[in-house]
Amino acid sequence: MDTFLQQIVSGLATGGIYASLALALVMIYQATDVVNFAQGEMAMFSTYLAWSLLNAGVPYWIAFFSTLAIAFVGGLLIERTIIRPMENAPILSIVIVCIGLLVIFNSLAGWIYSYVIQSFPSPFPRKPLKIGNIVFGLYDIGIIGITLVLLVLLYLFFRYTSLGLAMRAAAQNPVSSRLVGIRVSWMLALGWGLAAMIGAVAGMMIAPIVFLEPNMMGGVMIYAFAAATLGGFNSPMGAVIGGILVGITENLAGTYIPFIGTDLKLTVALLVILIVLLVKPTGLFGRTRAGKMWEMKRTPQIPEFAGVGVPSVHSYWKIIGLLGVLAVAVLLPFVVSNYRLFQFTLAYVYAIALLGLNILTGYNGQISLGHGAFYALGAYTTAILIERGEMAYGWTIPIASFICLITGFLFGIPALRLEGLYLSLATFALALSIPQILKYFESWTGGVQGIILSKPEVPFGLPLNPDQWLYFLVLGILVISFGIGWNLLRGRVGRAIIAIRDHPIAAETLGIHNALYKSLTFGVSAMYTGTAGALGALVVQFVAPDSFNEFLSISFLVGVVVGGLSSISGALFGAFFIQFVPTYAQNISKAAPWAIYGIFLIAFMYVMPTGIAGFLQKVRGRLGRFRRK
Amino acid sequence: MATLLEVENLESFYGQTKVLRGISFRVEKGSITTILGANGAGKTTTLRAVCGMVRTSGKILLDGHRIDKKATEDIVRLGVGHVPEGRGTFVNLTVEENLRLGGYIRKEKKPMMEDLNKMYQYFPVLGERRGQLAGTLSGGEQQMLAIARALMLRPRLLLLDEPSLGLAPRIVQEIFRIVRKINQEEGVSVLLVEQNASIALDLADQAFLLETGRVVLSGPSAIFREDDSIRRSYLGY
Repeated sequence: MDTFLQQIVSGLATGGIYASLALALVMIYQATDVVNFAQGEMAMFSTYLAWSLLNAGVPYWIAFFSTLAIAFVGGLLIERTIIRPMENAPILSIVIVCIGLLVIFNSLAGWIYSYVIQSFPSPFPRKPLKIGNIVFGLYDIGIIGITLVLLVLLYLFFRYTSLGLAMRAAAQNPVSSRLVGIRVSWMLALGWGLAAMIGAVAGMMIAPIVFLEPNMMGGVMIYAFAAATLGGFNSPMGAVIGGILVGITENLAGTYIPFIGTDLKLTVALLVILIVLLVKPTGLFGRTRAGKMWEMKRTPQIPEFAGVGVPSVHSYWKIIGLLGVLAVAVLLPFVVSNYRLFQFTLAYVYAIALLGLNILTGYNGQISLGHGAFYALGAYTTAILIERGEMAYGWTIPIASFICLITGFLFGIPALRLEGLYLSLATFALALSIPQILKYFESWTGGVQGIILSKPEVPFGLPLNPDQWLYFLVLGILVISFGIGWNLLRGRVGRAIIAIRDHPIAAETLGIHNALYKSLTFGVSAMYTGTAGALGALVVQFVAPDSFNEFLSISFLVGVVVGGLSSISGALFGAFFIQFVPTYAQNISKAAPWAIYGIFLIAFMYVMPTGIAGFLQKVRGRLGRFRRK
Repeated sequence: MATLLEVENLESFYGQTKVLRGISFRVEKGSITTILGANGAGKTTTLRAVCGMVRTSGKILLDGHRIDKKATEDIVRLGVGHVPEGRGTFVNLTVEENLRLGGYIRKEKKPMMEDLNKMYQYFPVLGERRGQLAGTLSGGEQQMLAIARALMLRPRLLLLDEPSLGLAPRIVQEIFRIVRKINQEEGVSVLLVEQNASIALDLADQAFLLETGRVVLSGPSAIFREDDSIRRSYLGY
């Protein structure tokens, strides 16, 4: 019994931390309608500022409140300078900008303060407090106390002040807010300032426990997302309770379920959230909102098939252009180095994966932050079949595709219950737990070591080296999958998929079986990404759990949005972006390559808020109008 | 009578398409003016232009001051209440919060709270539902809420965009009765866009008719009502 209570108490303590960060997330979501993925890194950066102040000899509480002030102003400035220009951009483009901010802050902190772990003082005594056999840390109680005080203050602010009311209004309905005289853009800026401030509090509370380093928020942020999802993204109180529940569940599961131990702690916590979401799709305390809610409504349509069926000069040029690109692609292996070729092969692999994600997210409006999981599934299927099953590699590809199709379809069924934001976070949970799961089934997957594959042999005595053969294999599959995708999306099925995205109710009234189509789309999408995974394993000749972490999934989303949502060619552009831009960033600055990458990302979204494909479409439209004149 | 709103040679665009092709009209202080016209004539765009919600060229003067280059929220702060097409209530806030937002720009809170009670007198049903989320109200109740919200800022000019849209005739009559009452009791000038020409002309003092972005006819509403040929060819009743 004592162990049980002790675990609950420790759960409360860690839960308090998750709660404070989750609160910041929920706040910014309520005040701006954006889920700020950079929240954790902003908090980390603020904590470093506090650390600098403390090192300069500033007393703790003065440093504490100055940091809050700096964080507030910083958040405000970030909104004004970086988010503001994106005001009318599609929501996913704003998400990508936030991801850009995340990598910039992380990289900058490493550059300025180095990755050396620092200790951070705590305002509360470290003394343990013993009641019976249960030990309370005074420090833990302090954290929970501060979180609760924050919660109450925020509640009062949003509930009873007219500024708080105006902030809520501005987030929900900017147009109407302007019509009652609210300066909407300032409200959003205030929201960012406030959230940055709460994040700074959370950061300074967490730092003494996890120690100060640029990646300190990584692990905690995941639980904060989980907590916010569990509690419901529009309920500050839900965030706090969600945080505490996640803390307790994690601790209890780790102690009492023997096969879990610490290896699967994260997975279990995420599983709990998935189950809760399936029962109550808006979280425990979330209300179903009548208005917009991370819908894909703001996704601009790229009418790529506008001219299909009408044989115009235009489409001849298009075909000639395509053939030209293909010719270059075929000649490429004979002119570039093997390493370059490897990079291009990998870019093609990503293009197939991105097409899969684009079918789901761009065309069907289901945002997935977990497609790395299907990529991993495809990769491991191939690797295990070759290594353990001694199968010829050629056969493993269709098998991997098929397994991913079925898995995707099955995953698509529960996903039907989740809308927008919650779906993306549930899939993100999937992405997060993949490395842990892979490590756990060590006898199959080779655990942390992974599986090493040998280079596939060149068949039929073709006069190619293995790298060139792989290149052509991937290129061939790329062309086939793009052909199938194009055929699928431009016809009856494609129209149904898009109709569901744009107006599910209207689609249903037209006789489209929404549920079936949505899960099928999920399956097909997973199949593409899984095929890519299988090819990726062959190309890299190595699979290991940590190459399939959440950054892979985020990279995929970045690729899809940067390339252009709802665009087939966008998948190719996006793949080139995620394959080559990080390398170029490294060439520009060895010290902070990811900061450069983040700047690239934000710059791309500024210039092309609808992605590269959307941008080209716009240019083509302008040119067309120009020619007609 | 003095002029409250004066519009001169107003043009407006949505992207490449010109929607208003140089219209001019005025709204007198304390009067009700209605804009009539077919679908796509530019009625809603005219209201949006006055509120700075669309790109325009030409002059718009409120009480003699140019407002055409100002931001929506600044125009609102000068006393223009806009009840947009489709109501635009804050569906996830309560009725009372919606009304409080209506008075957001007002500095003194006490007279604002008095106005809040006055709104509950004008629209008793809103008083009954003050704690309810606006999204749970019926269409007619939401329209009332939208009007009440606009009135909360004590506007000099009230822009009403198709208040009858999708409502039962009885509710429409109720709403129009209240608009008249507000106009008479508070001296609020009204610029009304309405598809239901007959009821709009009954209410309005002045009217003008838009056709594909041009004013083709304007004058006292009695002229519209009484001239059979205008009625038949333009208004269809």
